[in-house]
Amino acid sequence: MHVLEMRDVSRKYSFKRYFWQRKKVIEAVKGVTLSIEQGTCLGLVGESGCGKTTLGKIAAGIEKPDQGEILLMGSSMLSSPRSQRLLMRKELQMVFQDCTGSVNPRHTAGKVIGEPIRNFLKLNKDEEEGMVEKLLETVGLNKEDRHKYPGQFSGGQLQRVCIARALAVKPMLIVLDEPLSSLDVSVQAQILNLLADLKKEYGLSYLFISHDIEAVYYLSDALAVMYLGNVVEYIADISMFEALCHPYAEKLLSSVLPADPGKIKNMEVKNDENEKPGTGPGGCSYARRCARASARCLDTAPGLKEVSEKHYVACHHY
Amino acid sequence: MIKEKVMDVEGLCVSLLHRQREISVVRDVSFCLEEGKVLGLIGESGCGKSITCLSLLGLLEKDRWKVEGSVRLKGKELPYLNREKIRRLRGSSVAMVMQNPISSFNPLLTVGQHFTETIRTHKEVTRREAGQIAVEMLLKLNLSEPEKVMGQYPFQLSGGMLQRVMIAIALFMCPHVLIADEPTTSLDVTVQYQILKELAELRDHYRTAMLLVSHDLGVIAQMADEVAVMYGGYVVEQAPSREIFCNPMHPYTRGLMKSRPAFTKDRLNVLEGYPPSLMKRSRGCPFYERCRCARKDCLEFDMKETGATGGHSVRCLLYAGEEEVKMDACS
Ligand SMILES: Nc1ncnc2c1ncn2[C@@H]1O[C@H](COP(=O)(O)OP(=O)(O)OP(=O)(O)O)[C@@H](O)[C@H]1O
Ligand SMILES: Nc1ncnc2c1ncn2[C@@H]1O[C@H](COP(=O)(O)OP(=O)(O)OP(=O)(O)O)[C@@H](O)[C@H]1O
Ligand code: SF4
Ligand SMILES: [Mg+2]
Ligand SMILES: [Mg+2]
Repeated sequence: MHVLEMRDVSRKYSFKRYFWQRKKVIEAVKGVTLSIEQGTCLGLVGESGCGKTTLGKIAAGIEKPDQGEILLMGSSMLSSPRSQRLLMRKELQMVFQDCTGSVNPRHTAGKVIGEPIRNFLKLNKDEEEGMVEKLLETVGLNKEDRHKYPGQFSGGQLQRVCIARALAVKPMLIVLDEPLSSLDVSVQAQILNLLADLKKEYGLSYLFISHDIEAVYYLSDALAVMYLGNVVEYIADISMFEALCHPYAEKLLSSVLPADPGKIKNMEVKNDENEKPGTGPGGCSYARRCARASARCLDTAPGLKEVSEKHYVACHHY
Repeated sequence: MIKEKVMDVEGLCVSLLHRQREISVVRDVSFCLEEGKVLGLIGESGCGKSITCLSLLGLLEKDRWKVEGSVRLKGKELPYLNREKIRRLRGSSVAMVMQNPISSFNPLLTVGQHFTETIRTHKEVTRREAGQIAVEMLLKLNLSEPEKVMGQYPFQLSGGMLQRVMIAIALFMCPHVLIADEPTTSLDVTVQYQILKELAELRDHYRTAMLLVSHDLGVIAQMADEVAVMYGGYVVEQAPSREIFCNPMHPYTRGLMKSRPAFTKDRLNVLEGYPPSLMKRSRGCPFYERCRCARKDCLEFDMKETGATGGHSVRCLLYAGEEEVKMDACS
């Protein structure tokens, strides 16, 4: 059973600098179709600015897509009646990339974590407090920390407050947008183990956005690679990791830095920027940077197609 | 080539003034940044890395934080008391890339305005030139369509884009000292690669001394010549990079090296527990509760350096005696 299905979702942003200027439009997400099996984790990696956060917000029901359909446990999220949509909101929680911006600086940690509890669960004050304390301990903070304000936590501590908030109402799906980015390795490992345990115990599902490919490999069951608003490669089974073959995915893997000073990469040699200006809007979104781009890549965009079982690639060469 | 100490930090102590109490956050930290060298700083989240960076630049609010110790830039004590002087130093000779990008932008200015204003306070260029420089720098950092980005407001950009704008400004200044607090955390690996390349170039061409804070051991292995490991406000171990990775001594460092998910699906080997809360820090070794080879006397340990051989120093009682320490005993 799919917890969440996104069908051909798109999202554009338009903005202008001065009122006399023409509107500029950015297509942050362009027709993405992805689904997440219940109790599994879908990893999402991709270049900075390629629309991962936007897609995550769409999945969590925070941002409305301009186009497309989202199904939560098979029922449509966009066309359901309001009352039902509210219930659906409880099942979808998100841990934001910029956690400082997602919490009210004037609320204590206890209040921040208690917010979804107050909104969705009917608990009395003592029960709520007990739950907040338990959650703080689950994510490895001290009980007394609930009186602290966001500004008094370090980056990693605040991130754990946000994870606790998302866990509070035991949702079906949690969108984790770079949840580890400001944690150090030992806390990362704890959080990763915690997330893996919750997945097993409660059948939680995740959309796990991260640029830490090793962590994605550890937690995910399936993997999608995004580039400029498109999913360019998808494997339904993470054990096929070695088979990733889209030119961008290959570059991504080769940029992973090993934690071993014996294997330092020579930064001079690798000159990977061979940007070709002047490509029309029709071609593959990666063509401008792709070392393997051919004439066809410059004028027709490749669609995502199945190249072998459970393995989809959007590239003319496959 | 003679190594030149650019920034010399000695006995840095930072405490938070909280309800008539002084809570020490950074304790007795000493290191020096050498010309053309990178010092990597790693450590548990909340151990005081960012506070260390901020205090070096005199960016902590005076009424909430007490900073002691000496920080010398090219042999001269930094003029923390003179606001104007320190402001001018900041940005020109000492630049910083903050951990949290969005907070260092003014939400009312477009990124382009912010960029050109900052450049123009430190260098004499016209607004137009500044704009061109900005676009060039952003292109270098792999940001496509920099002109578009320059017209946008901070909230309209992704985290990684803002981080690159900050790095671009810092790079442009060609400072003597660059303090980079998690400069690549919200970036994907390909962009991270590009940025590290730029930082390496800054180091090699302008011989900039760098303090690089990161929790990404890959980044540290790639960039750092020397690594300092922080725990509970102390630098518990410091050594040349290769030493830290191949021959970690402190029990915390050893645990850290093991908890990295190096492309496995096996349950990660974690360091159990969490660091003590700031308010509860007491005497003795801050790692005591989590340490697998802790002894009773660790609680009385004064956290002075216990071993220092060949540039590898450590603060742990295990290394106080003469006898050889068994590496496997603790992990
Ligand atoms: N509110 C907004 N207004 C205008 N443009 C926006 C807005 N939010 C995002 N964008 C644009 O949409 C694109 C995708 O942004 P998004 O935050 O989804 O990227 P991302 O993949 O999460 O990047 P990162 O890894 O750096 O966080 C970017 O070009 C960004 O500038
Ligand atoms: N403004 C503040 N008021 C009170 N306490 C603070 C404040 N800023 C930081 N702290 C505390 O000081 C300690 C050190 O914080 P710091 O930001 O230096 O950690 P860090 O090592 O940079 O961690 P991270 O890797 O998570 O960024 C933390 O325990 C934090 O809770
Ligand atoms: S001093 Fe004691 S408690 Fe601290 S790390 Fe060393 S052995 Fe462990
Ligand atoms: Mg994002
Ligand atoms: Mg920090």
